[in-house]
Amino acid sequence: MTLTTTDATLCLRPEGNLLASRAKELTATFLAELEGCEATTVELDLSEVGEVDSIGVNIVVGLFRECESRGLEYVVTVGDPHVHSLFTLFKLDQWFTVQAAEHA
Amino acid sequence: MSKGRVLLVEDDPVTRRLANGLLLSTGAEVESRSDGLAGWEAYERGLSDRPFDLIVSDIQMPRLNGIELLARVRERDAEVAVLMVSCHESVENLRACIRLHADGFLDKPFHPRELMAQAEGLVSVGRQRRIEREARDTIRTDHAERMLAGCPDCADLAVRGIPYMTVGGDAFRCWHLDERHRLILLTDVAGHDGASSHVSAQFMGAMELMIESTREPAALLERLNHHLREHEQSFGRRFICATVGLRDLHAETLTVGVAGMQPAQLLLADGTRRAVGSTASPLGLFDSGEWTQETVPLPMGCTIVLATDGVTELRDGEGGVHPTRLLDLVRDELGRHGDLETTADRALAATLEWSDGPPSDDLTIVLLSGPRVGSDDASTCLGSSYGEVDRGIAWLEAWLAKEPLAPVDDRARDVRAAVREALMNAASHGNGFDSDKTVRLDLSPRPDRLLVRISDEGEGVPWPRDARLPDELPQGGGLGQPLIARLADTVIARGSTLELTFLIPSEVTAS
Repeated sequence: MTLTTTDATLCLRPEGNLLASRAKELTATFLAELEGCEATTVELDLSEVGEVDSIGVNIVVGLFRECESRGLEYVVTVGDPHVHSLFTLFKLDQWFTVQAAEHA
Repeated sequence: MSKGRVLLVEDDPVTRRLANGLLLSTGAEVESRSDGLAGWEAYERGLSDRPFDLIVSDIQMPRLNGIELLARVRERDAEVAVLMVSCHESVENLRACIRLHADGFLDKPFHPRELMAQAEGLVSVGRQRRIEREARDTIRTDHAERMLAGCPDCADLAVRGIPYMTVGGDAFRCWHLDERHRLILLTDVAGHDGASSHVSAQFMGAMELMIESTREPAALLERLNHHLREHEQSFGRRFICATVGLRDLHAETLTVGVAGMQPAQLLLADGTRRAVGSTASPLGLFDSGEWTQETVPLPMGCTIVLATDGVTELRDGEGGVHPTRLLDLVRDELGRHGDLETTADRALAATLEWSDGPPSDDLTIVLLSGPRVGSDDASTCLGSSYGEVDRGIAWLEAWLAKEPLAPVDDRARDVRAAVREALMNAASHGNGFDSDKTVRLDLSPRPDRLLVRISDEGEGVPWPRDARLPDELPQGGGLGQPLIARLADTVIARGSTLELTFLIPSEVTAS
């Protein structure tokens, strides 16, 4: 996973897809990054992610809940149109910002 | 254990005996036949019993030659390996073999080692291809007659495809709330492992509790969401996508609420479709959501399609997204043959074709038709033509003699006369006396009414231009329609199809 931190934003960019088989690994990594985070916004950058299964959605929402409980703003960047349509179908954009990646 | 099953088809007895011995020496189990037709029969028997891994076939043979045999085999089976044995074969024949996907060639006279080596390799090829196909097709299908035997009014068919090595949490249930109302629930639990299956069963239990307090789909979704959030741990923190439908058999309507699934689709008899119920968040993800419901009338001939998931059928291996191709397929299939079971099976098969590798999740398709005609459980249908009116009338009389119209009272007699006249008119006038045109009559008894559909391929005998028809009668459509309409309680004309309703007094249905 690539990690970028500016003063205000912690950007988490997982490599590979968000699938059930990677749930434990990704959840643990995300939670570890949130510990001691001094940014005010967390961006989950999925611009290179082509597949998110149902457990992957759980991971995205789980991270949202963690951010919410810590008072952090949460933004998800999506590149793949199918992933975007899945998030729209699930109305995730009503709970946090879902934005299209620049190259999408 | 044998090293594969081989079918040897060779008309020359000397070559056959030699090849048979060589193949046996590889450890294979061998069946030998002396011509192509006998080979084909052995192959067909093997399909239903123990399929062959390899066919070794001569080309020039009596009754059915090797190329014809290969063509027949490939129509049925792309997996079995085929080794063609030729003797100075023409280029055309060899090309034909290649076009029909023969896997190998052997020239006569062949060296024993050559036959044995090719056979051993191709047995493995055939066996492996079969294993892979079976893995792709390991798809269990639960047909409606098993799942829904007790409640044909709820849905006609619920088919679930479970890919190889997958458990999945899809489930479908229906409840008889009272004489008039049916409730259906289609769910898809996040994940596709043993836990999702467990959660699915728990969720059905929660639904049992909820329907004690409400039957409105939107309210049910909200309460179910609350229940999931409250008992998050026991549901394994899984979220659930669901469609809840409340069917009113008297009003002929369906009220639908959707959470996280693609909206239900209403396919009308004319091939158009529309979404029913706007989707909201899945259940269990958030503390609140905007679950709504929508009520739609179910006209005769319509079909409601519900499907779980949407991942497999939505995208292809190149990343393209196809949000409607499953629905397009269902619509086209229904338009082509109208058979729900075939439609659902083909839809599942198509998702296998579309998926990039074996699909990883289960998929359930539920088909629910409006007032039904032509189904086995609630009605019977008749294809009739001008020359078969008598047979049709006899069939109608027999049908009307059965429950719920017997014993015959005045109203039942009216219904009998009306339907009889309807058929007579359609068959003798509606088809314009053209015996090639088909008139089809479908009857469907409901608790309080008899629904009749008459589909007439003919153009009808036109009503005289200066004739004045009462306003309440359908205008045009030939002589038959107004005559039929005066005896029916409601009449809907759709192109060449006439839909009639006859109300039946409760004392008749009760009897």
